[in-house]
Amino acid sequence: MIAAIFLIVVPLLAGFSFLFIDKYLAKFRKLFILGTGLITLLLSIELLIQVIKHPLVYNLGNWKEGIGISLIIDPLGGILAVLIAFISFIIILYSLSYIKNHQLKYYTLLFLLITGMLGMVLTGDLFNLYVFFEITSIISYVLVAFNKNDTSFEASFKYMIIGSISGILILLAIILIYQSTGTLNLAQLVITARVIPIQLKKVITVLILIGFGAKFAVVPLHTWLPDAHSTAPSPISALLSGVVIKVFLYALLRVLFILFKVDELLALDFNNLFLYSGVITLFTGHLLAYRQDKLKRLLAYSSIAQIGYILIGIGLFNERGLEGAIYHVINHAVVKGVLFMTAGIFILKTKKKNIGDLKGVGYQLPLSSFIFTVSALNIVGLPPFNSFISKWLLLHAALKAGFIIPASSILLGSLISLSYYLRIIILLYSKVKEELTSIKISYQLQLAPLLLSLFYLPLALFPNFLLLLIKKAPLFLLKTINYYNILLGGKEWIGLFG
Amino acid sequence: MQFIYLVVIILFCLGLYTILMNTNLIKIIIGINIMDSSLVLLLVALSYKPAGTAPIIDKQYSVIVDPIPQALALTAIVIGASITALMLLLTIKLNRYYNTLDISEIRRLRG
Amino acid sequence: MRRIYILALILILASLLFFTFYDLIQPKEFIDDKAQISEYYIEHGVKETGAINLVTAILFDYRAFDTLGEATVIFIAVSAISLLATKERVLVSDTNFSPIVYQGISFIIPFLYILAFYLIFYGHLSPGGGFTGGVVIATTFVLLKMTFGIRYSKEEKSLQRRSLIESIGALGFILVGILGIIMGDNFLANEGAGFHLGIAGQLLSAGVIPILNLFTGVKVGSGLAIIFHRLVREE
Repeated sequence: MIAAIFLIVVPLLAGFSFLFIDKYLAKFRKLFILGTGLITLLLSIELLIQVIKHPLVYNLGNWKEGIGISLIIDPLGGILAVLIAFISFIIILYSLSYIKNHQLKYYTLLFLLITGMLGMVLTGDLFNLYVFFEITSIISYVLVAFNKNDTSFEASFKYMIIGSISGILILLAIILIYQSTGTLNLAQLVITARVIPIQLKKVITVLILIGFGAKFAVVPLHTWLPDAHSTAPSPISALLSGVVIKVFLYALLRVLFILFKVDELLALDFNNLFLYSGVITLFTGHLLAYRQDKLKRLLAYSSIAQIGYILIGIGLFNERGLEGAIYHVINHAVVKGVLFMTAGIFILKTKKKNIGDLKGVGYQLPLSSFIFTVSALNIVGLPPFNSFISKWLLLHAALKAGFIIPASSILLGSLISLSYYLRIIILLYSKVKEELTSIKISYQLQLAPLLLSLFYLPLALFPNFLLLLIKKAPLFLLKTINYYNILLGGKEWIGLFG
Repeated sequence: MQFIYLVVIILFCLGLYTILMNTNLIKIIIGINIMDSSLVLLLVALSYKPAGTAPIIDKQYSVIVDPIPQALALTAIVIGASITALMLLLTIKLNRYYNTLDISEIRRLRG
Repeated sequence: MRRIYILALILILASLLFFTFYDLIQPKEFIDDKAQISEYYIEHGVKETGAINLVTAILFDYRAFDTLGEATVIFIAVSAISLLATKERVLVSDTNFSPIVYQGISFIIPFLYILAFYLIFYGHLSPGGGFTGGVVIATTFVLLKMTFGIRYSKEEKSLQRRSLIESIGALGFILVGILGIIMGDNFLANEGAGFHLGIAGQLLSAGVIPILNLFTGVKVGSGLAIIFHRLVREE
C-alpha cells in the first residue's frame, strides 16, 4: 500500500534535496544517486507483485473515494512503472560515467523526470495527469538543450512550441470534460461519461488525439523528434526514445478508453484511424531513416517507426493486439536504450557523429560494437531475439483480425530496417588501410549497456513469464467497468476473479 | 449565446493565428500566452452561476460559484508562466548564436 | 498559399468551437447524472478542513497533490534557467534616478513585505494564498534590483542563499505530507494527521493549510526572484 505513494515521493524528495546533499555531504553523492535509483526500482517491483493479484487504490489525504485525488494502479500501470524505474536505473548508471559537467542540475532534473513519468502512470485523476504531463514535458524540453550548443537550443525551442500547443489543447479537452460531467476522477468518468453529448465527445476526442499525438510523434506531428533526440545528450536520448514517448501513449489510451466504450469506438471507425496512421508512421520512419547520415538521427527516425508498430497493435482493439503492443513497448524500450547508449559511447570516444566516419570502429571499441550489432539485429526482428516475438505477436493478431495491409507493412518495414542497420554494421567492421589503435575505455561506461543487453535472452527465451503479467492488462483498458470497480466498489468484474 | 464564450473563441483562434503566421520568436511566445489566457478566461467563465458570490463562506449565502475551476485556473496560470520564462531564455540564447529572431532562418538541422 | 491554408484551418477550428460551446451551455436532460463534487465541497468544505476560503481548501487540502506538482514546475523552471543561463560577469551598473524615486521605494518596501505575509497567512480566510504572497515577495526583489542597480560582487552568494531557501520551501511541503504518513494516515492528510482544525474564521485554524501556504509562498517568492536575476544578467 505504502509502496504506491513512496514510489512518487522518493524521487521527488531526492530531486529537491540534491542541492543540500551536494553542498554538505558531497562525498556520498554517487551513493545517494545510485541508492535512490535502486530504491525506486525495488519499490516498483514490490508494487507490481501486489498489483498483479489485485489492483490497488491509494486515497491521498484519506478523503472518501471520488472526493480527493486517488492513485489507481492496475496491472498495466504496474508493468509500466517497473519499466520506467528499471530503464531509469540503467540510465543513471550510464550517466554517472558519461556526464561530466553540470552534474548537480542534471541529476536534479533527472530525478524529477522520473517522478513525472511515474506520476503519470499511477494517477487516477484527470487534472493530476495534466500536471504530471506538464512536469514531464518541461523537463524534457530543458534536458534536450543540455549540451548548450546552437543546434540543441534550436531543437529545444521547436520542441517547446509544439509541446506547449499540445498542452493547451489537452487543457481545453479537460475543461470541456469537467464542465459536462462535473467530475475529474478517472474511475467516476467511466460512468458519467455517457452524459456528454455526442458532438462534444467528438470534439474532445479530436483535441486529445492531436494533443497527446504530438507528444508521441504520430506522423504529421513528428517533426520535432529527430531534432530533439539527436541533439540531446545520449543518456537523455535513450530515456526519451525509450520510455517518455510510451508514457504519453499510455495516457492517451487511458483517457480514450474511459471516455468511450469499445463498441462506440468501432462504430466511429477509430480502429481504422489507429491502424492506418500506424502504417503511415511506420513507413515514414523507416524510409526517412534510410537516408540519414547522422547516427543518432537515424535511431530517432527508427523510434518513430516503432511507434507505428505499436499503433497498429493498438488499433486492433482486441486482447491479442494490445498484448503485442505492450510487449513491443517493453522490447523497444530495452533495445533502443542499448542502441542509444552504445551510439553515445561511439560519439564520446571517436568524436564523430556521421555514419560514414564509423569505418573500422568495430576494431577499436570491440565490446561496444558487438553490443551495437546484436541490438541492431534485435530491433530488426530476427528470430532468436525478443523483438521477433513481439513483432510475431503483432503480425499474428493483425492477420487473425483480417487486416492485410497492416500485416504486410509490418513485414516490409522490417525488411527496410534490416537494410539500413546492415549498412552500419558493415561499416563498423570494414577493414581500413591505416593502423587503428584500440581506444581506451573505462569499464564503467560499458557496464550499463552490457547489463541491459543481457536482458535480451531472458525476454526471448522465456516470453511466457512476461505474457502472464501482460495478459491482465488489456482487461482494464477494454472493459473499463473493471477500472471503475477498482475504486468505487461493485462486484461485477468481467473476466477476472471468477 | 453569451458574449463571453465568443470572446474566448476569438482569443483562442487569435492566439493560434499568431503562432502560425508570425515568424518573430517573441510574437510566437506572445501567441502561446494568449492561448493560455483564453483558457483561464474559459475556466473562470464556466464556473459562474447567476447571482452567485465568491466561495468564501463567512456568512451564509444561498448561491456560491463553483470553486473547482478556480483552483485549476491557478495551476494553469503557473504552468503557463513557467513555460513562458523558459521560452524567453531560449530566445535570448538563440539570438546570440544565430543573430536573428526570425524562425525561418533558424534551420541548421536538416533532414 | 500558406496563408490561405492557415486561415481555413482557423475558420474550421472557430466554427467547431462555436458549435461546441453552443452545446455546452444548453440545459441538458441528464443533469441528475452529473457527479456533484462541487456541491460536496460547498456543503462540507468548512467543516472538514476548517478553512472558510473554499478555493484554498481545495488547493491545499483536497487536491494538495496538484499543488505539489505545481510547486515542482516552478522548481524545474528555476533549475532550468540556472542551468542554461551563463554565469558571465556583468559590469557594476548604477542607475540614475532622482532622489524621490530612491526614497519612495525605500519607504514602500517594508509595507510590501507586510502585504506579502498578510496574503500568505490569511490565505484561508480571504482571497490570497501562498502563490499570490510569493509573487509579491518576488516583486519586492525585482523593485529593489531595478532601482538600485546590479552589483556583481554580492550576487553569487545571495543567489546561492536563495536557492537554498527555495529548496527548503519545497522540502518543507513534502515533509509535512510525510508527517501525515508517520502519524498513521495517508499522505498530506490534514485532520487525520493530528493537526488542530480550530474554529473556522480565526487565524490559527485549518490545521496544516497555513503551514503549507508558508512553504509555498517562500518557494514561489525565492524561485521567481532567482529567475529574474538570471534573466537580467543575460546579454
